[in-house]
Amino acid sequence: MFKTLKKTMMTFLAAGLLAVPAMAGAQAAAVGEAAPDFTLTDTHGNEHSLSDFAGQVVVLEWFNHECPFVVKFYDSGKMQELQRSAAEDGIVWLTVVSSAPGTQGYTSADEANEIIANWESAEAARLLDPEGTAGRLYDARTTPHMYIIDTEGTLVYNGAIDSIASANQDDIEKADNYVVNALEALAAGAPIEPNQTRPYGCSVKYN
Amino acid sequence: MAGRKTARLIPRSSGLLIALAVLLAFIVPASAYAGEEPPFYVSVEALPERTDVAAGEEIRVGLRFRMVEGWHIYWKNAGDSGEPPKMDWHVPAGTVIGSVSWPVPSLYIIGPLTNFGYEGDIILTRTMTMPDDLPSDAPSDFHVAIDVLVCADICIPEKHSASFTLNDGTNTDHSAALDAAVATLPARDVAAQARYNISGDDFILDIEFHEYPNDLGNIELYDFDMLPVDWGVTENSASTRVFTRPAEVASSGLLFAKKRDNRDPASIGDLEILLRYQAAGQDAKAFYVTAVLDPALEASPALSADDVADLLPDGVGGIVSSPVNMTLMTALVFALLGGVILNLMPCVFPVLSMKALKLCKMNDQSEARARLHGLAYMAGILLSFAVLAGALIVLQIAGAQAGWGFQLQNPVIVLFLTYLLFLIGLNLAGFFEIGGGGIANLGGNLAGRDGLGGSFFTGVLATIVATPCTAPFMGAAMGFAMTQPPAVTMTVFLALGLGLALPYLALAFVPPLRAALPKPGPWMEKFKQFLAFPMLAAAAWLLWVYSLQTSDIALFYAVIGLVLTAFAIWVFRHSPHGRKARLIVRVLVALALAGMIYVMIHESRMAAPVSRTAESAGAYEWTDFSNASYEASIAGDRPVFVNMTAAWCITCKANERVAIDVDRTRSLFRALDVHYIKGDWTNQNPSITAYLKRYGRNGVPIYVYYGARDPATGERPDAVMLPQLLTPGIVAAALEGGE
Repeated sequence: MFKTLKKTMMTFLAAGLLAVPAMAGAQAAAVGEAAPDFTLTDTHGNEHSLSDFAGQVVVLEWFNHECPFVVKFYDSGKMQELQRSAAEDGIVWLTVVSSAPGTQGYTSADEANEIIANWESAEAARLLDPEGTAGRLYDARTTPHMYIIDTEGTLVYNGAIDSIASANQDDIEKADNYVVNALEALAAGAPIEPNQTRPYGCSVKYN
Repeated sequence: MAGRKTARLIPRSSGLLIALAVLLAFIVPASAYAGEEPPFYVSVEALPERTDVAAGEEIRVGLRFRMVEGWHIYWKNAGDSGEPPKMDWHVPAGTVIGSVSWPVPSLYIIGPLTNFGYEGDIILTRTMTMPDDLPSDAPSDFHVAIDVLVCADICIPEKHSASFTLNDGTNTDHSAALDAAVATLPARDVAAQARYNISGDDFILDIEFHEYPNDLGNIELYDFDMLPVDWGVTENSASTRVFTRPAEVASSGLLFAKKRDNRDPASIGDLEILLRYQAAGQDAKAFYVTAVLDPALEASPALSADDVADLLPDGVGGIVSSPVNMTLMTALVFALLGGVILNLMPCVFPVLSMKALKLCKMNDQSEARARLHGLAYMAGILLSFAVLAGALIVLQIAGAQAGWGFQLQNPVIVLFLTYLLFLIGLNLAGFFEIGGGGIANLGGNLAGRDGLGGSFFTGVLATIVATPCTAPFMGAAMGFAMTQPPAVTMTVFLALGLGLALPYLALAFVPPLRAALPKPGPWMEKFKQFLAFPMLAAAAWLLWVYSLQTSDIALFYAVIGLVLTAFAIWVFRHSPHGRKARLIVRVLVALALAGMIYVMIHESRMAAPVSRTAESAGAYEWTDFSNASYEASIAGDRPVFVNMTAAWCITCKANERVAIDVDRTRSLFRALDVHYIKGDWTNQNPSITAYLKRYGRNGVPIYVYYGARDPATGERPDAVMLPQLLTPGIVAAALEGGE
């Protein structure tokens, strides 16, 4: 009986803990609405807020260097290519790490810089979110999970990076890249289609 | 498979191994696709129904996935993360491949994220129709490449392949495994009309059943999860709320609500939705509906979860006289009646006898004093019932499975009652006296004049010894009470207590009734001594219950303890006269007693929680109740008789002696080929508690008869719940009526 009791209390406790992020999710990023602001520190100790980039298109990429789905895009060089081309177009690319300390993908600032150097990745900043604050605010579920915010500060894309949910590099060229599509449509002033997809990848390792 | 051995170590979660696994996650994509063999967390095997197949024939083909412990794969809608397995078949041209039948998924909650999938050993089934030119005399190869994402807290994408060959002369047969897999698939043939809409922050689904699903009986038993097959419709981590339709709208409908996610379901169109439901301690079941958008559909604001019980459609689950439909008034009347009858039950008899003694004495007392005794007695009973109800309510709120008589599931309490009854027995027999007034005045020293405290105590005692009995009417009322808000539960329990107190109250308040009692005299002392024997018999019975709950050695300690107790009383009565000697003797005896009590409680705690059956075998062949045995026999064609009993339930024992374990019933069981299932609730057993709850009960006995499946329609007649007091005639009527 005490076992059941304990289990029940744990369930209540868990439900209570879960209720908070779930509620946060309610006001979270919805396509067509203002992207919620956040402030995070990058791997060089600089603070960045989303509002700092008002007037610019911003891409958010949730990242976990140990996740096979993330590795798929970096090993092939695809993600670095997207980051460089975005930078040339004046687009701000922010990579966010929401892995909690002790979980897969968590890195110190130094470790993160080492990975950036080794992988030759080209984001504007690698933002550290060990508390998962920004991740929960955006309801980021997987790595990668992509968001695009337009010059007005409106969330215009939320979802997967492309159309083939696999960890197989060969699929990258076969897939429709939703981020490329969205950025092109945005530049052309055309509607983004699709603007919402099911993200795929590893789950974000929240605490 | 080589990978299994390595991987089995992972769930042990030592830091090093986790680190290793993390490393693997990093390395795998690079190596796995280069054709290397990393450790696998899944193994896959193809299971054709049979390998001897004709052209144009349709067969079932299963893919069995076995996961290493702690790892899972995903349902069609994987939830917040994860991916379902992808299967790429290479088959002879012209083969038509059906879609996958997905088993009922489990929920995996990882921080704020929720996923749906499978662990252990599962089979994904589908049909394949053979091409018209399939050669019957030459082998045909079927091959599948599988991409499967397998996750614990981290995820590994694995690549597998499997194959089988038809008509190669092997005649392999996997139909048994596939039958078993198909039997537990979500139902797709539920006759219902389903509509959905968005209402505020909720996604709502309204299901109108043309035919209410048989096993959905009492919806309160289940945790429901509404799982749309499409992603992004409902918030995966949100809970599902379920309501019955308002009575005036329709008879047989359910409304589900769950927090919506950010996708507009209207952009998808018709939605395929899985309704998953699971009773405590049982396997989950599920059915599919296809729902159409109905912009006019609204959540009924008047409904709250508390209303659900009142709104259950009549005859849900085919149960005759479902007690959940009972109104509070009926429940109160039943409880009151049950309480009155409780006075006559065997377990209350010794206490009733003591009251009889007191009634005789009351002839001498003044009107006012008699009334005071009656009230004190009632107060004792009501207070005890309030405490009991309070404890039950607290346990239920805490989620524990508790029911009427639950306190006797604890061997320490049984032992305490044994000693209590033994002491009362010794006292009645004149072996010792307390405060000079005998048992009738027990507690009187504390509570003041006239032995009013004694009356109060008698009330408490009456309640304590009454708990193992379930009087007729009581079961239904108790079952109703436990499904209600705490205030109602408490009221019904107090009504039961009032019923128990009523006969004595009547005597206290109506002098003519008292006058009818025999005149006091010297016979009373002999009668009192005689009453020691039912009391000791009750103690002996409790001791037997205790032995079933514990072990032989625990029983031995308990009996020695009784002897020691009697000895201690004797020592106290005949201690040496010297003050010092007396003190030493008493301290020694007290120490011995304390040691004994410690040993006994320790033994009781040590006792295995396994229920030993309260019956000797031989008279009947029966199957012990378990969810599996029950489900299996219900799925069969034979009639089924379920009897839930407990060693401490005298009513159960009496029924078995009088109505079940008799020639007439025995031969009837044989003639009808009845499958007899017996559940023993002597110790706690959550699946029995859940079964009782399904029938609106929370105590034993319960007898349910499920008639044989009609060979023509394939349906069973409605289940029949038998009354709580049986005669062979009642059993025969139920069985023959059910034919």
